[in-house]
Amino acid sequence: MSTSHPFLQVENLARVYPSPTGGDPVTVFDHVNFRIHKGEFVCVTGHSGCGKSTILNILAGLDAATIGNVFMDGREVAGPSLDRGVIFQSHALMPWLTVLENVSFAVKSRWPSRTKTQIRDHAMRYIELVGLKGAEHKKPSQLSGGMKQRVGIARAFSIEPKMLLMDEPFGALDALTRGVIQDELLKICAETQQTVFMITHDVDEAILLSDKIMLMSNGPHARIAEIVNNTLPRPRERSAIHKHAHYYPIRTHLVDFLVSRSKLFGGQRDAPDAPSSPSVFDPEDMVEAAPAEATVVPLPQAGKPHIHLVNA
Amino acid sequence: MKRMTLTLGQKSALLSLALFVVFLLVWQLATQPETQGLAADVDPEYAALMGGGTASSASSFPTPVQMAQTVWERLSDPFYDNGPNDKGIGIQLAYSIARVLAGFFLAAAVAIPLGFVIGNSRVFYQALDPYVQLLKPISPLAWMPLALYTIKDASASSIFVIFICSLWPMLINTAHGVANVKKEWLDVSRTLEVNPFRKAFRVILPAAAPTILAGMRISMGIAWLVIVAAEMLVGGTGIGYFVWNEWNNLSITNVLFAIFMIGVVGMVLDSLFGLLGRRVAYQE
Repeated sequence: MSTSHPFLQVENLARVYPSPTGGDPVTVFDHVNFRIHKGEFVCVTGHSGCGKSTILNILAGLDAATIGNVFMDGREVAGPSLDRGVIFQSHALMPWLTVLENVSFAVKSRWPSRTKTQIRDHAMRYIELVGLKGAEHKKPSQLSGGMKQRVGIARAFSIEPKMLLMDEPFGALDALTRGVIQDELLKICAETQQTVFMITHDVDEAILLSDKIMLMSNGPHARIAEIVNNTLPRPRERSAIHKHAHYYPIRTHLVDFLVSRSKLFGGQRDAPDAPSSPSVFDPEDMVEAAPAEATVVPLPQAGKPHIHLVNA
Repeated sequence: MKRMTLTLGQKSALLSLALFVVFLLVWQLATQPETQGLAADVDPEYAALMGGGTASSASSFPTPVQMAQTVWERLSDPFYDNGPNDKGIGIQLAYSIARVLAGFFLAAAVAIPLGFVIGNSRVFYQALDPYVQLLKPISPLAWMPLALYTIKDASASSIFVIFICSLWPMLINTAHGVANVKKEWLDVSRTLEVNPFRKAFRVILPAAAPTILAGMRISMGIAWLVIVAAEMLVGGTGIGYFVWNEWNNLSITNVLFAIFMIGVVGMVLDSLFGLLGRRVAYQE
């Protein structure tokens, strides 16, 4: 994680939708700037309607920004690419294909000249990685929700993308299944050093998985209001992370943001579309200064910027 | 109490059988020749003069037994050919089926690619919609004079009529199926940079296949209805011509037999498409 050369760079992104009733167009988000480094796991959270999914779709190349640019590996993102794997919330498996065929379809798209056996072996390796060996000839309709999402994960990882984009991948799963799959994802990401951008509504999920959590204020004119450095050491264990001194400061900070600060943020600017920079929260500062109470950073004063931010 | 524990299938089979027996009974009663009454009252000589003695009052509508005999005779020699007005039922049906298949597959060759284009493009969809809406409700037989005038061949004209009636359900269903392919599947293929050709055949076609096949099934059903009428008009060969010819011969038995065979073939064609439809069906 060097701060010198960002892998993904998002500059001044904004999305304006024409009003459905014919009135003024609605700016869902604007002045969105952030950087993601190679191997970093970044979670984004915020209330519904702040444009998280739109940002993810723009990163994927499935949607276009009204203003602003996205650069990955020095090149501008201008459309979908095999360099960015997407895990959809609805798993998006093709129901007429088996598990193996679904993954092979992706592998064949990535390496069209490979032989059938090579494609099959490659796909099987990723099916095994998500623990679905033995179910490869089943159709998605024969699988549980958790298993379907695992196929989605296997498919996204199988093309060995430079970056993985996940839109609330576990939102539709029950808590137990979600926990199991999160652990698996944690393991796979540790093995592959995958760069990940993930949307989640689940604070605990964000803490367990991420290196950095971006908090978005409410729309319209939603922004990345705060960035939280997740300083919990890796490897992380679900059963042990809450014992770490940084766990509760981070968690309280996130929950407080979602409960109260997310809606106040917009009101603190001179004009709705005035630029703003996110403040950075780092639990290391907090624990050293005041271990117990002062977990909330006052908004206008940014904490020590551990990561370089692009100014709007 | 074993009789009370019949399965659903057994119950419906029994009911089907009972309905068939009742049907035969009613048929038999309705067509029974009243020979005894006539023999007693009428002078046999007079009866003979009136044409046919004791059997004179038997109508040309057959009894179930006569019908069964005819069915058996005709089915045991389906492919004889004694000139234009006397061919086996197999030959007549083969003519009809060949025409239906020719018209149907010509229509599929036009409707499915065109439906793909229409389903993929809002502009095409809206541009062609008024034409489809105008042409769809036209009875296919209304095209017959135009077809005979331009094509100048009876058999080709009936194929054209089948073509035109098969076209619309397949076109509309293909366009509908293609337009309603789930966005998430298209998004997946976009992120995987799947080329348009592969996307069409590996994503859109299988996704829309159940809808397309439902359209083909409807088209086939309509085509089989229309071929009978078309062949009655153009004559020469085919099951429709056979029905009309036997009506001119006043052979109600043969007409009934033809009706029965039209039903059997229609059922087989429909269940073939039902079978195909199940093969491409998927459960989400």
